[in-house]
Amino acid sequence: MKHFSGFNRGLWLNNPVLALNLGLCPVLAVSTSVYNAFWMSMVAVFVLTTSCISVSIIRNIIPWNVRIPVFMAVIVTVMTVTEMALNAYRPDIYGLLGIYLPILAVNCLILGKVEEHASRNGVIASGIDSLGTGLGFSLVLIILASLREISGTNSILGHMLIEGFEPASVMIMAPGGFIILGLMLWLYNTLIRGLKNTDSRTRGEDIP
Amino acid sequence: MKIFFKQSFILIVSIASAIVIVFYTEKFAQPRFVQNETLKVKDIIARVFPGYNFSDEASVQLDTKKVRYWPGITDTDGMQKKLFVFMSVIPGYYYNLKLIAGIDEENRITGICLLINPGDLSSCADNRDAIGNTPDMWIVKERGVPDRGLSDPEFLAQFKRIDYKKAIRIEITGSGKRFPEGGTTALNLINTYRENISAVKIIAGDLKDFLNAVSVIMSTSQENAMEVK
Repeated sequence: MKHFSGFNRGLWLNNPVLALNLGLCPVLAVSTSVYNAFWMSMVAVFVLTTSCISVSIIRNIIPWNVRIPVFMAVIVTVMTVTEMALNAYRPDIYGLLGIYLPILAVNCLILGKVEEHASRNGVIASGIDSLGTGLGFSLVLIILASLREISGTNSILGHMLIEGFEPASVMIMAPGGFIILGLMLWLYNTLIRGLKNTDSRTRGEDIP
Repeated sequence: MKIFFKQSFILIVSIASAIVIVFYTEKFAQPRFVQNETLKVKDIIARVFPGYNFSDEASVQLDTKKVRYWPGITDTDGMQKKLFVFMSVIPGYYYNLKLIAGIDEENRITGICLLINPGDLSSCADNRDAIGNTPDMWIVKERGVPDRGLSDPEFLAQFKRIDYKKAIRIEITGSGKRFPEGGTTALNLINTYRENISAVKIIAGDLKDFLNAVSVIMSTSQENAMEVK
């Protein structure tokens, strides 16, 4: 149950994109289609979880002063191996994700989670927490991609939705991504975190 | 001092482990990379130059460098025609630009394909003149991401006018659309590449090498035929 709260926190309450505004670069860049978003999500979940578990295993032998370079080495290794595996076995996906795949290694979401949680907790706790965070990231990415694909192309996964409907192609461009992400952030902060919390923040109080 | 050595040791071991893991992963995956690359190139060649049966990759040694090519042959109305497809890779910061060109026995460029990896944005053109239709006309056959059939309008918008050889023209067709950039030179395609100025020079040089290579191949095959006689 204790671990489940960590999972839930990463998935929803402290969602990396909506609550912490982390990892926005791949979210905006790859969310032009659900297909791309799905594969980026899978890679992010795998890299995040594997990096967190690896760091959690070696955390007790890493001196505090050199922890960041060591964590970076772990993340980059996991990312590079994942990238090579995709290039070897799914070159089509590797091509689709392009430059956003390798730069996931320097994503603040992954380094932040490794430093903040995995370096201070056990394997199971950090594994579950990172899985929740990764799935939270994936959830937002796929919802955003669905909204952009539907409104921007009038289709989802290549299937046309409404005959004769003229899609707003701006939605699959960068401004559309910002508009929809902005609306999602507003909805999340208003409906999920509550107006009360927003008021507390403006008064400089801690959000419960 | 002891702490310093301990930290250095841990750091060195971590980085060395990372290097070893990446090295062995690459070694393990290398055959798949080569296999994927071969399949992709063969697929592209077959699409850009349909109707030809291509043999395995061969190479020819020029004065300065070695050039890769795929010999192809077609049989139309009892007439056998040979085609040599060449490929060169221009490395970029992240994207590599691949130039694939087909040259016939009479040393005419019959088709050009530019492929940007990874991502495989491509632009291919063939020359109707060499096929025997409208003179000096090049047809862009495909653009976008071949694997998923996606088109990229911005890709085409990057084409700019460079008069490399005015005799070679492109008529841009496909998807029922005629783009305003129609009529640009074949080598304008290289503007799709960020480092276009240097790429123009490299591609122009590569095409000259390919033409020289065909001369070498043809003269070698003639010499071989003479020896057999």
